[in-house]
Amino acid sequence: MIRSLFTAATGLTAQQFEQDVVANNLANINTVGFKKSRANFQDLMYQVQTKAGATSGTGVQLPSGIEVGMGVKPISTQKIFSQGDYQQTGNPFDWAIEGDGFFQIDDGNGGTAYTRAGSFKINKDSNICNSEGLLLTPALSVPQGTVVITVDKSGQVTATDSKGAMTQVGQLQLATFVNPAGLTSMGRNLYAKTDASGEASVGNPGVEGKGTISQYFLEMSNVNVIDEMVKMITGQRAYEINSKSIQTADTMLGIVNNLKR
Amino acid sequence: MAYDVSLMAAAMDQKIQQLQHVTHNLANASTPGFKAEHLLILNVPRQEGEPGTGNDTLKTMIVDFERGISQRTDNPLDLALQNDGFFVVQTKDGQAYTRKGDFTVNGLKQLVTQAGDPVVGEGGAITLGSGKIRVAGNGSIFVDQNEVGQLKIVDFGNRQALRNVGGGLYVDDGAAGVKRVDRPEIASGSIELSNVNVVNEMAQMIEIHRSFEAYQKIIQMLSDQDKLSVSRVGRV
Repeated sequence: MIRSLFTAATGLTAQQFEQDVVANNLANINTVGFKKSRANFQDLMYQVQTKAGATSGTGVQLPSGIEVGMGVKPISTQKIFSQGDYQQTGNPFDWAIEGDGFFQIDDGNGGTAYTRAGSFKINKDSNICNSEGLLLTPALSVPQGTVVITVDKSGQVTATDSKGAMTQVGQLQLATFVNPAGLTSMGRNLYAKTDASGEASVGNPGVEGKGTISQYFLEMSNVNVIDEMVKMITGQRAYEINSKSIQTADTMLGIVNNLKR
Repeated sequence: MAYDVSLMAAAMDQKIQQLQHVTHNLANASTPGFKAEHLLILNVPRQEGEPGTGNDTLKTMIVDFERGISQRTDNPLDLALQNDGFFVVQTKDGQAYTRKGDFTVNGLKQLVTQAGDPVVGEGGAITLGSGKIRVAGNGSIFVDQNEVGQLKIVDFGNRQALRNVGGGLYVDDGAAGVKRVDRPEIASGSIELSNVNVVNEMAQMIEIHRSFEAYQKIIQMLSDQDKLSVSRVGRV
């Protein structure tokens, strides 16, 4: 069989994979704290048919060899942690991180998950939790009778009761990673650390390169519709071209079959 | 029997090989840092007036090292070389060279390729601490304000002697003539796209397809001739 058929098939698979990633980005365009992914590709291994410097049948030394490539494969998907846009919400429990860092969330199984989605709530035990009910780490508990809660840039959380008395509720801490692109996505806006991301470095907002907190704001997704649409168009065309390769290879096989009438 | 049939069959085989290269280029039309490859079939000069024997063609592969266009990505670890040269990568099998600049960081905080091979700087692997990473235009890498390394950029006197090992990596078997690039120009936050020219590849595909068809017709004609000569000569 003509090897081109299989090479073109790798191209089709790769473009399909690209579309999957683009579709997920677009589906999450309004997801708070969502970070877009990018599919990375690389060319597959090569088969060496003639080595460079070998002598041809006519006694001429070849200036370069012949290597036949086998197509393309997806090598990784990478999260792009660029800043998303901010949206003002007026909700005191909406906190956006300006700069690098992640909120730490207790995943309920003794582990820590990380998120940029800062839309928090209070549960029945007056602890601060995310929309799913998972607790924020370090735990913050809002005292009874609190009227106003404020979070300053450096993550100090203060509660004010109806008489105007202020209580320190606690200090919010953020985690940063050397290689945030190495975090795995757990879905539900959460990330988990891996060997590639490195250990979390935890500290107060605004210290050692960690971002600061903006209360009453949410960070929207960082998906750029135009970029994704362009990717979709180029991906679709690339898919089409690879299918043309298959068609051509197929027609040529047909021609071979018709050699003997 | 007309022995030209086998000559034509060999020509068809060459076209299939050419198609393989075209297909591979098209499959990698959106692979960053990919360089298009063309299989050229050349004629070797021969004595005037003598017919060709079919053995006097010379196949040679040319890698088109033309620069691909850069695309902005806003990821500081995406590096695009703005002039000739290659990044140096330390693979398990020794040093390799690439223009595929979509780098990332591994658990040891080293700058690595997407396949996990460390990128080589002037002083070996480049270890990034924690902090804001910035790559200057001359290849110096800064974390916050401290310089942590300098990318090593090399070029070759004869790039065609490089061997392609896949993954955007090229290996020098000693014949390419490695030389340093003293003034590299690197754009951080951009990536070099594939340099495959889709229009050219499609045109080539059509050419391959049609010549293939023509060869088929010639073979059919030759075998028709054979049939005629066998049947008619027999009748006389």
